[in-house]
Amino acid sequence: MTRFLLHVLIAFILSIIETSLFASFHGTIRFTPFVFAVSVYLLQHHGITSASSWMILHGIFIDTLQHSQTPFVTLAYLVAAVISILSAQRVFSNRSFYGIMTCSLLSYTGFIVMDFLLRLTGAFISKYPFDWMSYYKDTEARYMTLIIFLVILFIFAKHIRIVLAKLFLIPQSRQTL
Amino acid sequence: MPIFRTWFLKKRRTISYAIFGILIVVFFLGRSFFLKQLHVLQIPLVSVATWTSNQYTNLFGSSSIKISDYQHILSERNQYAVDRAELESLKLKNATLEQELGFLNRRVLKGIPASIVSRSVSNQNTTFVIHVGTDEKIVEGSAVIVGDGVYVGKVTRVDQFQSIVTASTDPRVATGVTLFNKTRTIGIAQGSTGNLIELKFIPVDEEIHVNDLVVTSGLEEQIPTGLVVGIVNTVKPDAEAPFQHAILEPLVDIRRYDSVIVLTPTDL
Repeated sequence: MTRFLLHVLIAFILSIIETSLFASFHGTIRFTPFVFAVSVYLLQHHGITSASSWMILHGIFIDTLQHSQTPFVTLAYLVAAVISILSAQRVFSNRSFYGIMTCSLLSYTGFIVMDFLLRLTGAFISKYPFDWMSYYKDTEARYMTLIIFLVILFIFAKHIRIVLAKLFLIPQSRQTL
Repeated sequence: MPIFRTWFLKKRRTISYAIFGILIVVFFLGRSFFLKQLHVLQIPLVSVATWTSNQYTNLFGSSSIKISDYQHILSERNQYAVDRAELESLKLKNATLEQELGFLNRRVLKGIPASIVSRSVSNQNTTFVIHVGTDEKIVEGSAVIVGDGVYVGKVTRVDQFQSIVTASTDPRVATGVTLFNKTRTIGIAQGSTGNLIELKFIPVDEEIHVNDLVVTSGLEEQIPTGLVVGIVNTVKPDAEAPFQHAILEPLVDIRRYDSVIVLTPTDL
């Protein structure tokens, strides 16, 4: 139960950082899919399967706020979480940078496809114009910031492992690389 | 005690699910209260990011004049726009009052300061959440301004402790506006991509010029007249259509602000 509450707390903190801090920056940096990147990175590189729940909780959080551009965005995060778990456990290597990057890009593509379908449906129902070009530019910026953010996380892998061990998210024995 | 312990260990899984269910119910029932507690974290984060980005833009943004001079000119321009709008509004009000002596239809506006707690991220849609809601008498459709009266959007959803504001540059928002041209053309301003506003369905015989000031028309219940919406940037006449349209440039970029003012009208 304590672990469950810890996960909920972490998910909310990450979600707040994405929607309040990152979203308030100017330029491309505001598109950083912070919660997604952290979740998939921890799932793939550190084997914390429960980290995938953070992105689902993030989806619930922004759906509850009704703050998302996409209706029922939790569904898109759910698809991304399933893809990331399956690909992390069965397809890609946990250790390599290549493994992290491809797993993240594959699951983010799953997210984007679902997000696109939901947004298209939303635009069709509410009869609002859907600007393809803006969506394309947004997606491009999201992919770019995701890749950059994953590179940064990979560089600090050792430090992140120490923090995770202190938070009891991974056993103390896995502290060093 | 050992009996309880044994029972607890046996039913641990069921108890965990029950607590999880209760937590979900509590979260949805006390959603407003819960979200209000988050404002303590959200407001400083928005302020830090906005300040940092503004400083970065000021330091490294492309400029051929000094930043301080540019800021001064920008604030002067905005002030002139607001003054002009007020002057025109007063002229119009005076004329109306002269015509309708004895009739008083005056509204006192109450400005409620609000901090931005989170923002959506998109090139097409611009919405942000502010930390005031129905407990501060905010209503759906209330005008949201910055500075001395530059209109930035309207409240599109209200909760008890927070509201969602959709910016005037969002295509889902349309605002009744008046142009300060010879004939005081009335039109509908709708958000467009690239942080611009589009003015549609203006009859071709109406004269519109670049740099014409556009203000709110006051035709909407919660939005007073005379709030500066933007200036005309481009006029696009269509020879084959009975209407022309114009592109407006908003005077301010809402991303540069971490707080706004919500106008709630109080009838006298």
